Amino acid sequence: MPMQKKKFQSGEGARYVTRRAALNKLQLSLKDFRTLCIIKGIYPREPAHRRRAQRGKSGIHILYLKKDILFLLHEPMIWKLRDLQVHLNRLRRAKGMHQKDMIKRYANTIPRVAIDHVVKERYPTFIDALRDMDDALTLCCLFATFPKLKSIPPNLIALCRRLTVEFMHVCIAARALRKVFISIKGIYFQVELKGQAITWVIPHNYPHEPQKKQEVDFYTMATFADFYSTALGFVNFRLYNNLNLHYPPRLGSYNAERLEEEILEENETSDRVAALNLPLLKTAEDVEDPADAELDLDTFAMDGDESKAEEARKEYEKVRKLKKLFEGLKVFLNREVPREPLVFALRCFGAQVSWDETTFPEGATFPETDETITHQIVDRPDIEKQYISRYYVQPQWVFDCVNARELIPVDKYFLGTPLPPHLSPFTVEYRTQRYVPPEEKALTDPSVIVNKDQELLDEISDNDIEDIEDDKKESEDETMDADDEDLDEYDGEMTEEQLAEIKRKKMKVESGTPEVINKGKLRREMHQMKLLKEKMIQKKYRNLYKSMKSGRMKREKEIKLLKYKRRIHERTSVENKRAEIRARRAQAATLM
Amino acid sequence: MKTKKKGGRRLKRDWRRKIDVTDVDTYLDEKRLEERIGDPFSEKKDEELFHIDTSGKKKKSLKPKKKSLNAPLKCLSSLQSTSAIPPLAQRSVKKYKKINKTDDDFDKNIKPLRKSIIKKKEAKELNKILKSKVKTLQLKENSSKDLFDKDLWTSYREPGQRKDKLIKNVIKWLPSEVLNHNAKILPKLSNKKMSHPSQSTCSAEDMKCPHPGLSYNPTIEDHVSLLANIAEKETELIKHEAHINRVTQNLFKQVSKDKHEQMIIEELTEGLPGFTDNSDKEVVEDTSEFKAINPPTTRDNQKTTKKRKIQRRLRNEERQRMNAKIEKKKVSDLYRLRYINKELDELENSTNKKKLKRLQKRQINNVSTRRLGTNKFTESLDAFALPKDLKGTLRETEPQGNIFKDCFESLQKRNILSVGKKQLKIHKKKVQAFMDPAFKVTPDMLAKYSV
Repeated sequence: MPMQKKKFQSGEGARYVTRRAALNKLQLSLKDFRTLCIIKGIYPREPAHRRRAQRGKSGIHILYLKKDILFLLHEPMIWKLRDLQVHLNRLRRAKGMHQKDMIKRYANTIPRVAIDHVVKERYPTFIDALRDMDDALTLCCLFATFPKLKSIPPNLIALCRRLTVEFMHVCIAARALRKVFISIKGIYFQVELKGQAITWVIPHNYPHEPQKKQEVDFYTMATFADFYSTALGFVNFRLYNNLNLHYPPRLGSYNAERLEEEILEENETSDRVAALNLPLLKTAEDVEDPADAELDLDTFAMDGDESKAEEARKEYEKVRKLKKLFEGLKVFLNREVPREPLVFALRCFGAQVSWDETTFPEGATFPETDETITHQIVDRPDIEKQYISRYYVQPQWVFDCVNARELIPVDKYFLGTPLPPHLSPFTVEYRTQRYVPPEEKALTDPSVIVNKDQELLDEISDNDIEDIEDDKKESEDETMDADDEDLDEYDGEMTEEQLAEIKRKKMKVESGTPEVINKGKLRREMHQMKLLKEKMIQKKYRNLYKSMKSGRMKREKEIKLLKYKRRIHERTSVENKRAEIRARRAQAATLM
Repeated sequence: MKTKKKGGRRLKRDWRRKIDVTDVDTYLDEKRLEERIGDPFSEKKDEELFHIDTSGKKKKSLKPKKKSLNAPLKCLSSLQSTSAIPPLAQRSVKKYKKINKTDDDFDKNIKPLRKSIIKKKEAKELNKILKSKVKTLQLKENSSKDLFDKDLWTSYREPGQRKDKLIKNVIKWLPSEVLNHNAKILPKLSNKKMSHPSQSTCSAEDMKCPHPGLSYNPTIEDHVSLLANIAEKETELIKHEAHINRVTQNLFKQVSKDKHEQMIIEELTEGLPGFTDNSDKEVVEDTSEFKAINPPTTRDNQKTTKKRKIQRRLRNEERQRMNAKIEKKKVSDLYRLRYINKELDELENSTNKKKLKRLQKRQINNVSTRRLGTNKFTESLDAFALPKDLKGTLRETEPQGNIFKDCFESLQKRNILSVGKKQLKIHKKKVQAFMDPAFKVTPDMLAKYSV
């Protein structure tokens, strides 16, 4: 008789283990197991067939893959965790026995569980680490704002604060900021480092509100923060080194006494570093500034799609301009303005920033009375003493400039004026099937310029207007004739080729001619293809398709009509203006 | 020696009686005495016994010697041995080897200190210095804990790693049988290396793109769309809640306490004499007649033989017809063989398609939030601000929502954390307490002590 096959010895039942079984296998407490799983990045799984995976047991257990648990078994950290447990037991015993010297001894020698190797293991490349920085930064920024809490180790909060400040410094040095969005939750920042977009949120600067215990498990989150802070530390180190900066950041002014002081402080989040206002010291001189770094795009643009390459080039050009957006500006922050996000946003694009010394003790470089200040950022309805030499703008101006990637005229953001809406830079553009007036377009896309007829038309002379009209007519004609021309070109080409064939007698190398793409023909072919496709539509969907098509046509027509109306309106207004100008001139002539 | 006496020689006592041993005894006694006291004076030389006085009459004025405390007391002199025989070596004394090892740490750190410590005061000062030094050392250690002082992602190898690689290179040349044999002793030898299990988490983005209506100063359209989204979700929730209420709570009547008691009493006393009114029941009983649900058969309903025969015949005919049909189908199936093949193919095709669909569905499910534990993940509502709360300036905006909670929920959404319920109360087991009967206070005891 053959060996009887036992149930759940192979297949899904053998592949999964419950959490309890995993604990038994690893000989860890639940708390330690949770920590280990978070740090190593092992998560519970949902099997395809729960009943089978649970070996016939009903209910829902937390299941892990057996392979994952075996992977954990090889982790040297487990031994450290066990040691830690023993040590803590000893400490607890000493506390119970009131042995003061023993308590001191044990408290000072708590073994540290190093997780450097795990960071390397989870992020095999630096890019991988950068890709996962979104969560890390959000969590660290959040932890940095916490007060001393019972469930969070005390040095973790200081470490998180230090690391976030360091990261901001690197972003400033690399001019990496791309987008900012002030939401009611917090302030979103997006930076681009090594081609990776990293987005994170900074909470608004308000006092800490105690969390409800039901909502968030503090212990779990502290473990996450522990891992992420380690990862962020190593990322910071690498970023600093890549930019040739000293890693525990050293600030610009280099003299022996200061250096000594800093070494003494070493890694404390000193206010001077947290001010974000002084440039970091470089390890090497004559290094290219990231703001001036240029990329020769033409060398590799050819192999890809041409239109894409063109787009990339434009984008690159925009970013290059963006990096120097605020260069040459001298900005003073008023007391009521959130200092840190604004300093970060301004310094990322090369502005000089200062603030009232009473708000933040260190780092202010120039006083309010400085006459060379170009902008003062104010967030109150009125201010008593105003200087003529500077603009008084509201903080939204800075963020809108960053999102628009150019300096927006300040007139809408003046002191006390109601602000234009603050739009999100994170929205995905979608095509609308409705008429969008140019004024609205200008809100989202600053490249579209609304012709302000009042000012513009005064300058335009009569001739210019006629010229413009002529241009328009010509352009219309061109579009009408385009198809015919294409046809002609096509015919001409054919004859040439034939002639060439006749002329050719021997084999020889000829100079290459650029491939001419007949756009008209291509368009016509596409249209034909589309018609064919429409014919292939199933009968049950045909009516739906028809109604969709007719709806689209209708909307397009409406848009066209409105555009047409607008044009007529503009033209009449222009003509009116012209008539006025003429009348004025005539009046002037008569007066002369 | 004297001559032998005659006598027996068999036993010991015979020997004792016959032999005179006094001369041997005296000799031995003398010998022992000599050993105890030393050599006899007669054998000593003159130099040992006398000395020539050359100092003359001058007497040295000697100070009375201080009695050293180490010297034994005079009264105990009788207990001291005066014999010249050296005592036998003590058998149980362990021989200590001289420690030749020198404790380097001790020599370095403590020896010089020992020399320097002379007075208590100095010792105290030194202690202070030492403590401060230890503290600074500890501080340094603590600060170095968080130092990130190496690049994790460079190709540079630390010295230890290099050695590892060398070992690996050597190992490459060894045959696999050798490696497997020795792997138990030297786990380094095993070629197997655990790689980090790749786990595809939910594709939901890490930082959810904020809705444009969340801006502190949004456009009207964006804000309205955000509120509409939230209202839609909220109405759904309300609907669900109403459904749950209808299905659970509303199924049961709410009754006041008095009425409930009355009902219970009514139920318990039903049928008991004296509680229920019999008059109604009697009326009912009078009108109705007892009837069974399935009345018993009577002889009148019995089948006749004729009817039975007809039924049997019909049954047989039916069976024959069915058999004929099956036979016919067998024949026709022979002709249908080629079609059957086609049908089978189709069946296979359809099952394959279904399988593929199921696989695709599973893949899609993998991407979405899955159920990891007993509790299901429910997404909480997004933060929003009502139009009256939007002030339009950064100074006056009030922060809404909870980023910490969002973080936590995004982790749950991405299948990283299982959804659990926070246990706020710790349910301790109630320990049942018993009292020793001896300590029990009884009423008569109280009476006795007149409390």
